[in-house]
Amino acid sequence: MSFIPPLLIWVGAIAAFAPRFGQPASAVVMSAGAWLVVSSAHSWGSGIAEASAHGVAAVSLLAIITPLLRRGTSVRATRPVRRQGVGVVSRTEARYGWGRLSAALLGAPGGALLVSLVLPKLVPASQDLRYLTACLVIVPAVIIASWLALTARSGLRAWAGSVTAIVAALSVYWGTRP
Amino acid sequence: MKISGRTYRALFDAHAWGGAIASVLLVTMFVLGVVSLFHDELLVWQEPHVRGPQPDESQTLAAAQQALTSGWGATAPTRIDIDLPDEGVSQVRLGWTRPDGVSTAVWVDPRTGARTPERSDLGHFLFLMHFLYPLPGGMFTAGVIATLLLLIVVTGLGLQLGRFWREALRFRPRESLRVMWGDLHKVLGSVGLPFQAMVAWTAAIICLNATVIRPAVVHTAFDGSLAAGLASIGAPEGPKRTKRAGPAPDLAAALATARRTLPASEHGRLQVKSLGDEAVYVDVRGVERDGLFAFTTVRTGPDGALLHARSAGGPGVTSKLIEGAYVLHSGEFAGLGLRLAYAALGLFSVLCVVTGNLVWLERRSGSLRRFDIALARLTAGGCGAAATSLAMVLLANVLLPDGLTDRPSIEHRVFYAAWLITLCAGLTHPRPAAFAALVFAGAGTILLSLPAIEGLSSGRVPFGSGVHSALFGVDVALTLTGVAFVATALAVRRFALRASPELQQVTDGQLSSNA
Repeated sequence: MSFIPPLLIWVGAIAAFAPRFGQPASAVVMSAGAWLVVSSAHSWGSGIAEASAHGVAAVSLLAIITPLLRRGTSVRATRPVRRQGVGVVSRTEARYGWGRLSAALLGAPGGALLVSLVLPKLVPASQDLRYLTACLVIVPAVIIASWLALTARSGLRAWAGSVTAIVAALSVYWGTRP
Repeated sequence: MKISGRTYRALFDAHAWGGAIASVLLVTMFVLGVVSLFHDELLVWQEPHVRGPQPDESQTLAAAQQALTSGWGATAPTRIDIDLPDEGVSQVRLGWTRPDGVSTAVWVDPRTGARTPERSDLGHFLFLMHFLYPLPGGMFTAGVIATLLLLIVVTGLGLQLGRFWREALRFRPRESLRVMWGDLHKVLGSVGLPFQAMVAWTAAIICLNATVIRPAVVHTAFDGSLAAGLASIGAPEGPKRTKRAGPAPDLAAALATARRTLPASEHGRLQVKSLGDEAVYVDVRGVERDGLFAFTTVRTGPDGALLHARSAGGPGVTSKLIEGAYVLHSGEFAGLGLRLAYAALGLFSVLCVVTGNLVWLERRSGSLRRFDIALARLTAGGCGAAATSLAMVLLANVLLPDGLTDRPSIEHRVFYAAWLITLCAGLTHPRPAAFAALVFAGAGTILLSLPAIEGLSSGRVPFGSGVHSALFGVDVALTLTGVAFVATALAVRRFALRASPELQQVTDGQLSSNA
């Protein structure tokens, strides 16, 4: 009977696409299914993750299928938009410049990676927490650094920031070696 | 919330370029991820001769013990993995790597003691290929791609600020293709956002931890002490080798100790390390459902005495984070229903990536340039490569003769060759849509015929479960995937007719010569 709670989530999602009382009914049925999934799981965390996965999968599937099943009108062709100007690579290059683009793709992520790996040396905590710091910081640091480089005022600034981060990370690493 | 035009443009460019660059690898990784969810079920499909009733445990352990004590000579491997048979598997698997780096695996029949070379490691190979592990630098690349996916997800969310709820469920399949692909991309991206963000972040943590974080933090967090690093994740170094000969460990005693120490865990693998040395020990690996934690280890000495126990999650917060990330990523915290939901979400993610590329192409249909044409071909070739390589490696598993030397690695080569040839053919073919339709139709036909071909070669009735219900499940999955591939081929043909005149010209090979 363990298939019933997830099935309730899927049935609830179907109800959301029915007219009139579909959405309130869906909310009730999906909530009941989710509550049953969470209460029968080994922990709250795994139960919430399981219920969410079923909910997201069901809504995705139905959001695609339901409009396909509706009786439609004619299919419209795309009206092509004529554009003038340079090629797509050149357009993006013209907008940011190779300096910023290369910093966003190489310099900034590389710098952020090095800073994340060296950061545990500076954290005044137990060894385990220092390891945790590197694990938690690395992904957001790389993303934020790339974003900052892409939106920097100039390519020079983007590379200056990247090189500063790289030099700082390496100097902390070499400076604190036993 | 309103964002400035400059920020919006940067968000859009990062989202579009990130998606276009990563699309081919993302499609392959998502498709293989879906297959990897069922790699345990694939085991009995890929190895027909091990199908049968689960043998008696004492017989199994006696056969494994016998294998440990005989036939190694001077080239005894430093580690031997013994996989106890699961339900529906009649033999015990022994795998080892010799000091010269050559890996070998055999199946041992507990009833007769006969050894058969491993026929295939298909499920495990596809699981490893999901994070590009067999390729040089592959796992780091997978970590970078996963980080890029998270960037794409975050920038996609940024682009939808202020209109997220309005457009989250708006799909208009009968509008123009540009509107339809855009709607589909937004629906799959918006509704699937929690899943895609979760898989991206957990994959990035798993891959980057294994390739760069762990080697680096030994120096930056553990002051150069590898032993301290290993202890923090619950895998302390074993006893040092004494270089004095010692007896083989008592496997039954090791398993009994493991069951006594962690009774809730299912102990399925015994790893014998330092075999032939006095300091030999056994790591009994197990799986226990404990929320988002799962993996246990009990270490015993040669006589079964307890040396160390690691409960699910490990001792520290970092081991809990990494194990939780892995368990969340692989869906191992719940049953088959969750894995089916993950499979659906994985396929929706593939569709989301592909529709992203199609939106790119439709937006630029009035002024297609070299890069756009290359992207159209890359999308066709990349998607086709994932489908063909999967179909071909499954077909190779069934058709390659059993007695081939190093058969598993020939299967791997079939996979790589099919992937590369299809991608290169896609990049050079002048009509991307026609190429994609042809490739998907071919891959779908192979998958649809596989249950019958496999049945003929193994003497099993197609869709008959025999001793293992997973066989029925694999046949159903192959058929459904085959149907999905053929339907994709038909859909590609149909949508190619609806494409804007400029894109149709690309598909007819006219514009490519002008560009």
